[in-house]
Amino acid sequence: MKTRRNFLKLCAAAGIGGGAAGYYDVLFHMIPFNDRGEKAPHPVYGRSDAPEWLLDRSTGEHRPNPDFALRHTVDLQCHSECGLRVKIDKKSGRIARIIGNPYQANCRSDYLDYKMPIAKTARLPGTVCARGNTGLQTVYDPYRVTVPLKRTGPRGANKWKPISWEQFIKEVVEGGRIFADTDDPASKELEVLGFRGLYEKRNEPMDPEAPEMGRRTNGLVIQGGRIKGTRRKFQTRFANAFGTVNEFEHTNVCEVSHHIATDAVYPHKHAVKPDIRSAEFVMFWGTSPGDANFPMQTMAKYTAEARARGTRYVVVDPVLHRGGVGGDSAEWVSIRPGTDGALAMGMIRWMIENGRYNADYLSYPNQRAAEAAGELSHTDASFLVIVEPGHEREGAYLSPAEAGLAVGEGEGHVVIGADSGRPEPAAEAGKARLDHAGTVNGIRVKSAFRLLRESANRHSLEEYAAICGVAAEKIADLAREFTSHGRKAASEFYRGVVKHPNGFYNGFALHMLNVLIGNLNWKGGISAGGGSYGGMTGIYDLNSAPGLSKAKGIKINREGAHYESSTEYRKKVAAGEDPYPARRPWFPHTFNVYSELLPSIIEGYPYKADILIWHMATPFYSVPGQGNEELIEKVKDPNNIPLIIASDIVIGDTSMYADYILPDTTFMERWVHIGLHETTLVKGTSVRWPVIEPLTGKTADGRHFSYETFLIDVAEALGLPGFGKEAIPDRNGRLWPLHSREDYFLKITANVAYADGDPVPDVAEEDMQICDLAAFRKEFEDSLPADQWPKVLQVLARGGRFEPAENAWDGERLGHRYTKRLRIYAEEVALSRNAITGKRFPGTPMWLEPATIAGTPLAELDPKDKWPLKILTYKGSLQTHSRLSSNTILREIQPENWIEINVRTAAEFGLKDGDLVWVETPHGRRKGRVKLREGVLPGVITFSVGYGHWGYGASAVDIGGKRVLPDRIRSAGIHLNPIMRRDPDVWQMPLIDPVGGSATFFETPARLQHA
Amino acid sequence: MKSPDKSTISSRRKFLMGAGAAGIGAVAAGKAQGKTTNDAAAKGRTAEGRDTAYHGQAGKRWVMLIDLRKCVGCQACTVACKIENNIPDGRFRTWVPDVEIGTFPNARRAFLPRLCNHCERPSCVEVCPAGATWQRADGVVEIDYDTCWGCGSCVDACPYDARFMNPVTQTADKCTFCSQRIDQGLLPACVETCIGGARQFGDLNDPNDPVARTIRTHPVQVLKPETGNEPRVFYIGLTHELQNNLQGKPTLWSEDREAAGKGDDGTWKIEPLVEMEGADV
Repeated sequence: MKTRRNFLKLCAAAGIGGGAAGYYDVLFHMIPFNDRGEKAPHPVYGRSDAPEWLLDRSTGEHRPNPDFALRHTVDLQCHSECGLRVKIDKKSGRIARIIGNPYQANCRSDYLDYKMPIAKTARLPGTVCARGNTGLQTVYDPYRVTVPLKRTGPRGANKWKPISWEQFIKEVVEGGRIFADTDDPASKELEVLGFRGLYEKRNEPMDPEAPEMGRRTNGLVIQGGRIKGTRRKFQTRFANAFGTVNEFEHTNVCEVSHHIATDAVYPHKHAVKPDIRSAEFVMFWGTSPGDANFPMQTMAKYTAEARARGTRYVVVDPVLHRGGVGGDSAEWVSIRPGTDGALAMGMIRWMIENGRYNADYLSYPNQRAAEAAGELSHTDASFLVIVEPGHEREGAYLSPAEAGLAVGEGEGHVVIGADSGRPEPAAEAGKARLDHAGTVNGIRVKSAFRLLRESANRHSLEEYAAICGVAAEKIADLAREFTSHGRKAASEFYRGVVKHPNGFYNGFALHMLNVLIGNLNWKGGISAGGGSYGGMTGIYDLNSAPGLSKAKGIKINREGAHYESSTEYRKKVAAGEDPYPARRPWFPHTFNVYSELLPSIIEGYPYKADILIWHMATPFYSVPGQGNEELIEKVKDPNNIPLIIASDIVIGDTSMYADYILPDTTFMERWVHIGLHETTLVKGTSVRWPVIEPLTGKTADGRHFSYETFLIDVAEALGLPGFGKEAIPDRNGRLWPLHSREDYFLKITANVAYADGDPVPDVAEEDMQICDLAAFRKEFEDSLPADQWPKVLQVLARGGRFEPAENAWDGERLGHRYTKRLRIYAEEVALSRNAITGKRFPGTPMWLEPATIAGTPLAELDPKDKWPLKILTYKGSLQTHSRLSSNTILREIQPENWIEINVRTAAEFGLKDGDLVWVETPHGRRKGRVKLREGVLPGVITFSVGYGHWGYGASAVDIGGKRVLPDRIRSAGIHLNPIMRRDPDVWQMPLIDPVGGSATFFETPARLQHA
Repeated sequence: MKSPDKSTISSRRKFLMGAGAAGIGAVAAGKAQGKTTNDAAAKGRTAEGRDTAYHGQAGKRWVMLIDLRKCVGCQACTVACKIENNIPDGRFRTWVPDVEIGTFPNARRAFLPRLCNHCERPSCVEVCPAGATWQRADGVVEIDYDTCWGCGSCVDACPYDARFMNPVTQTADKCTFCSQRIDQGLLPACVETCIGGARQFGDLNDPNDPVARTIRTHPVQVLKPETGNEPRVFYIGLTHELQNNLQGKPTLWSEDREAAGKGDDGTWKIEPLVEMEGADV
């Protein structure tokens, strides 16, 4: 207790937790009133909070308790983006409690009418999960950084001093010998190129011999962790204005292969979700409803309701997680890690062999023909693909010209007409032959469906069963059940399926289950979501500004680019050399390949970086295999990366290695506009806004320190386009300034408020008072014209804009339908190559054995006799990947994590429950405690992420010469990401999915040793 | 008041069948006869007049119904309660044991939300030597924090382990159905936040209350019916393995709730393991 008090005092002095003493106050900072303990404020209600609503007993109506404001915003304790109702004590300005926003679809199945007065909702609350409830502990973390910190020792020494905002901006912009004031011999004399120095090189090529690399300004790399929606757009705006293409989010350590596999089937869609509330049978693969996925609480809600109705569903996963499987209607199917593609292909084989697929639906080659037949979508299943060996376009769809057809208008694909039996343009045919192989105009072709069938037939059901560990009869049973409900069955997958080297193909195969029964757009089937109200355009154009253009060049992680179009490739070919392997992989089909950033920068492939910004990023904690000493040492060397700035709310596990820490805002203090997840089926945009005054310090002109404030001040110092006085055009041609984050985000809010030519109503006076919005308007009055405020405030008063709940369905159809062509053949994948092996990727869904990037099967790389176990991570409903160790209530519930293994595995290793063991992998070992379970596949180790921190308050730090002591609970438990399997052939690269781009989380071989 | 039908104790099946009839019938009888009230407690509170906080809401009988088919073990209720009621570290007014049942591959997870049962015949009230705990007219069992000596008799007397000693007030403490909220016509915090809709709150005396209707028309169960306390927290889907002694392997916190969280000196009871090695092995 004494330590805690001293710590808090010290924080205030040093700039951590400056604005607030921390939530601990509530628990520990009490002055006992007598020997018997502290007197409770109320003899009966005790220490409980005063309610935010008061009952008028004469009318039975609720009126707001004037001591509190209620504000609706959006959570970020995980990425479900649930609506929140935040109860704020007006006197202290502090958050008292968080509940759900009943106007937002995540928080209630029957979410409330947008026009319902807030006072009518007192007894109609929205829900929010445990993490959502504890969000105030993230905000009031005593380890919050609230002023800029600069290192005084070597990188990673955790010696810091608080500096002024002005000094911070000046040093990073102007550069020079800015580390002369440190005691780090490696950087004292270092001449650092600041933002200005780098920006002055904006017309110089990065590599004069390889113009495709773009300009020198690509030497600014922004490694963003969690940054979504319009906050991401803000970061992109800065990157474009500065002239760098290197601006990223963290998706490849999340589940990018799920995006890419989805995009391959549903063009431009990165997620499709089952209509859980109407389905009769749902399969969840590699994800547990009620424990994770998007939005976690909403999937939990819908499956809970489904369970009570007796709806059947199956969870396919090596681990039985919390939440998903209980009662009689749910079933757990344990599967070997990463073999979901084999189970899916087995089901596909059974479905095709037994005629249990919707052949009629698949035969319509365009939307017109499909709709004429009462279908709601169409596919490429009947499209012909060139399979002529050696043909220059082998693997491409056959074009009408190649088929000898007159090239008409419409799409350039060919089918065999069902009636004519002859080639016809896909765009014009009525119905097409589905299963076809033959020759057209002398070219051998097969239909996409035929390729799928042949791919499924590469293995027998028994072989698939042997691969995935699910019996052949069970595969058939699952396929039978899946095809027994018409369109009211759906298959859903998430991370567990795709975080493997074969992740793209696993995901691609799983999507086929839905396509084969034609359930898209049908009630009880699959939904592509209801979309959002946008926000980047409308009254204001936030995408453009005078002088602002898109940055150009190859990204430093070589995503979105083909190796074969590089100068490097052409030079090698010209010199008669084998162009393969490239030095590191290229990733033509994917994005946000986050794990490639640090190794690429250090290897300088294809170029080096001058400035690195980490935003809410912790690659050493999160990237499989990267939190190792060798890589950390390289990053610590200022010669490899001269300037590192971390935007963070604490001194984190990775930001502790930065030169400067930029004090960022938490989710309660910042903005974002973000669309609803597909699961809800409806259209909506949630708005996160600063519902409390940020705890961070302020600039001289009164703006709170934040990531945006930093980017604005750097931009204004350099005179970048799109920032400063004339930055944001409105539709009347007027240019508005961008000097504060509200200048930007309030205009997006206005676009949302007026979207679709159907403006929201003006905010009601009573709601203004309940949300305490008058003061907010006054503070930012100048950012909007007066007439737009009432509608903008209505959006803030509701935490966004949402269509009526009943729009989810339209009779037996979904209310929002996706009408682009679904694809069962991935032409662009089939036409591309692995830059390491030079081999073409397959274009059909298939079971592929997991392998290294150079093609070595993992079973050969780490033989089972040496490495009998496999490590799987999970992130349950009490944790977010690398955050929330500050949420002490969650830690009370689960203070540590364990090495969870099956009781049979334990017997093999001679272990008992609670034994201390070493988990060994090819890259190191960690000590932890075993928990024996039945719900874990034998041969598998699983552990919850989020434990075993070394930063984020887990280690002592020096700030301004004072020692800040750690909170030891934050280092409790075990974290195995740093010793996860890396690819043997590419330096510091995790095992990776070369198509989808996912870093592999579920293929690390391991063994256990008594500690 | 009618005593519980002892024949239901030995047989769960009988209890399930009998619950609707015998158990709920007892509520109505209890209502008609007035509440179990500790005289000393009542005397100590006469100065407060008819303050709802003390006397409750006349004519109502608050109950909770927990539909276990809808519980996902997310612990939102556990957390919401702690924040709403400012419960010290390591103490819980409500908690949700999370266990694994069955053997591989037929394992499943089960959750059992727990809280004060606000029993029709609360065994905690009569043992209080200070008259500091009593039952309101609406069934809520309360503690007067100004009167409680902190002797702990009630903590021992509760067969459901629902009471604990609050290290801040040094009094007994427990769930009150969030009486500060329900007295304003609001819902308890745990019910508000329950993402699966498992927790429902209602008035058993109101024939139109959906919760009361479900309790009367569906098979519902209570914990340890043999105590004779007549709990007023009802469950749907409470299986035998959960009903009497929670069986199954704990998968979340340890069996001892207080092993989590901090001790009275403010230090965490769980010590981190800091050993790690990065070198190749």
